[in-house]
Amino acid sequence: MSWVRRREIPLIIFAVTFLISLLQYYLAVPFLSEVNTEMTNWVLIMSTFALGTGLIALCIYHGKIIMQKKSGYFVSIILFISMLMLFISYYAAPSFADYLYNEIYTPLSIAIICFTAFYNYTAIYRAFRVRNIDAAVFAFAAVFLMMLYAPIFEVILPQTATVANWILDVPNMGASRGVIIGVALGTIAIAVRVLLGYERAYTG
Amino acid sequence: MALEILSKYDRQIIFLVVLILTFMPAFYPIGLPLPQYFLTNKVYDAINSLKPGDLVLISFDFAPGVWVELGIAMKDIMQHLFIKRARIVIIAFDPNGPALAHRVLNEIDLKGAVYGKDYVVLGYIPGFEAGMAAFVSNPKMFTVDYYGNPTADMPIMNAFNTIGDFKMYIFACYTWVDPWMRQFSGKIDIIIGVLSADIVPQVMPYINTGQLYSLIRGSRGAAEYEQLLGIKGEATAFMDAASLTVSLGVILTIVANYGYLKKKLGGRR
Amino acid sequence: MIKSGLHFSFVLLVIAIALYIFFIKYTVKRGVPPKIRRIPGLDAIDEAIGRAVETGRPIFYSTGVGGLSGDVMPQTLAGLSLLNYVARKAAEYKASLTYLAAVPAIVPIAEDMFKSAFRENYKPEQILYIPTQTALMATVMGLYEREKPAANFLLGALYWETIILAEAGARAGAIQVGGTGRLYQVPYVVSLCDYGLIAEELLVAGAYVSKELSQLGSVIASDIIRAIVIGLSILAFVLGGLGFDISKIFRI
Repeated sequence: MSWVRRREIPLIIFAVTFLISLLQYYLAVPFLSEVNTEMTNWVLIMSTFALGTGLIALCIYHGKIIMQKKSGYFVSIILFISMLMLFISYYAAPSFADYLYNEIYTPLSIAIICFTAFYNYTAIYRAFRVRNIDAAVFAFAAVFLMMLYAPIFEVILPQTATVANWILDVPNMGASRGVIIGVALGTIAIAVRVLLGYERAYTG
Repeated sequence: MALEILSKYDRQIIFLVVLILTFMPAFYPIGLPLPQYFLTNKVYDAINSLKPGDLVLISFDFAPGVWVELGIAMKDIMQHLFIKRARIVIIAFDPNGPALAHRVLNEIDLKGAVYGKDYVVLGYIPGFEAGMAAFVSNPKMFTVDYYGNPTADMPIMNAFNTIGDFKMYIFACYTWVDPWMRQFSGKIDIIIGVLSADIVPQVMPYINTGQLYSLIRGSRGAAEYEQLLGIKGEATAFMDAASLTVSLGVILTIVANYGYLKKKLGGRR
Repeated sequence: MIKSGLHFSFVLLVIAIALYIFFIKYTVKRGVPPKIRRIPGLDAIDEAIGRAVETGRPIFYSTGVGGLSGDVMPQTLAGLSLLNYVARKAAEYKASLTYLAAVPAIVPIAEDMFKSAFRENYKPEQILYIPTQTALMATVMGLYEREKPAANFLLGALYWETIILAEAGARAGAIQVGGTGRLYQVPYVVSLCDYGLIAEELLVAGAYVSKELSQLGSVIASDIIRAIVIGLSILAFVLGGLGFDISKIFRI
């Protein structure tokens, strides 16, 4: 069975799937579209299967931590309790599952995301110092875009919105397109390198 | 002196001020007027021009952490869709999506819409972009819905065969729009993004090319939408806090530069 | 045979792929790495490692929550090439390096890199696997406060975690080198890090440190294609100004 571990196998899989999905986009060949649809269904099945294997791996990993009483094992116990509670309540008492999701999980997630706001403001205080011309342009654009998202400025000074929208529509648009093209080129480059067999990081 | 204190305890002071400015409007609402953004109007007009029975595809592709930014906007838009009696098919490319859709449906007035006939929650599609591609090539891929009911008997499932049968597609996301653009653009006439405000600048090229018909920019967009719907909802309540905290951002930029220039000039002298 | 409206784009794609194949093959065959300008952020990597050694404080490295699929893959791979470089340097100078892995698929790759760099000094704790973005953000807020890193590297496909990672690093007084091709996070990298690698710079930096000829060859091809795109844009701009509508050509 050593042929299964050969490095050529993932390369062949990549080459075939890449060419089919690329060509079906450009060529009006019904057969290619049908094969592509079938392929995307396979990806879907594999992704769903991966969720199951992920659950098993998670249980084994945290199970080991609890059995060996490693540091922080109580966190793993909390994980099992929460997982079981949500799983059982989803089938036995759906309204309780809703409660767990909406009133416990959601506020906790929001709390973590909210930290970005606090960090944002200290970052503004530290980073928006006009040390040179680049920093000046950056601070100028940032101030006007901040004003765009707060109604108070648009009410007091309607011109702020005009300036901010100009920044969005002209310099921002040009820069964004440049970066989109750059990233697209990077993606083509990686596809070609994988196709030629030079890029092997994805095989682990 | 004030600047010295601020530079020494900047983090603590700024955190405290942000906290106060966020909570203050809850007790003392300012009620500032809200100017409309043309793209929000465009979304409103597009949904308003829907005829009863038009098919709309919606995907909830965000995590609960950004509920305030995107969930409230989705609530307002869904409410408008139910008022217009559109038929709604809900999917998700984020595992949290179906639960968030379920929450939205519980919190809005469904205007007598019947599950399975007027709307359906199909559930989560794994694989992210591959999942999108799979759904686009076969939108009837679901045999059971999110709640485990067979979809074969649902009248709404017979209303479409291909992705082109949907009149409109609305998606809510907070990271990037490129995968949605790659998979859906050109296949559905009207694509609307409900997006967190921070990614809006980078989405503008897609608006300019018409690949994205229009967008709602986070909770600010939701507040504008509530104004168009004539309701005073949750997003409207947040706008005062948004105005105050963003003002803090502008003030901090000025203070930081004042302190910096003073130090620099003082040093030169 | 080609679908209507896609002829022009198909021809451009074929030219791009042909150029990539030619320059990658040519560079590998020639065996001599092409000259690439030194990127300031790269010098900062050595400086940051040096500071960590001097102060005895740790180095933290994150490639963000971007994985090894889709259009973020090149950025993650560039981040991993730079991680390999940092790991080797850290092992050479006996600095403490921890990689914050948020994507399970990257963990075995990082383990291999660390094992070959640190050899007998490798410790499994050097790779801290923290699944999901919110968990990563929550962990970093406490971790950086406690450990006070001397250097913080944020190189890869970065998402919302950037602001927390960079600001927490700045608060801890770390030298920060950031880089991403994700447009949405570029402002945070530029404003919060001491040195920033923007978009293509990250990919080039990855190729530069890896010294892999195929990567360096693709950099040349990218530059040539970019010149073609700039040329086409200028042509469209000039002809558009003269009243010729060339937009139809792009839709042939």
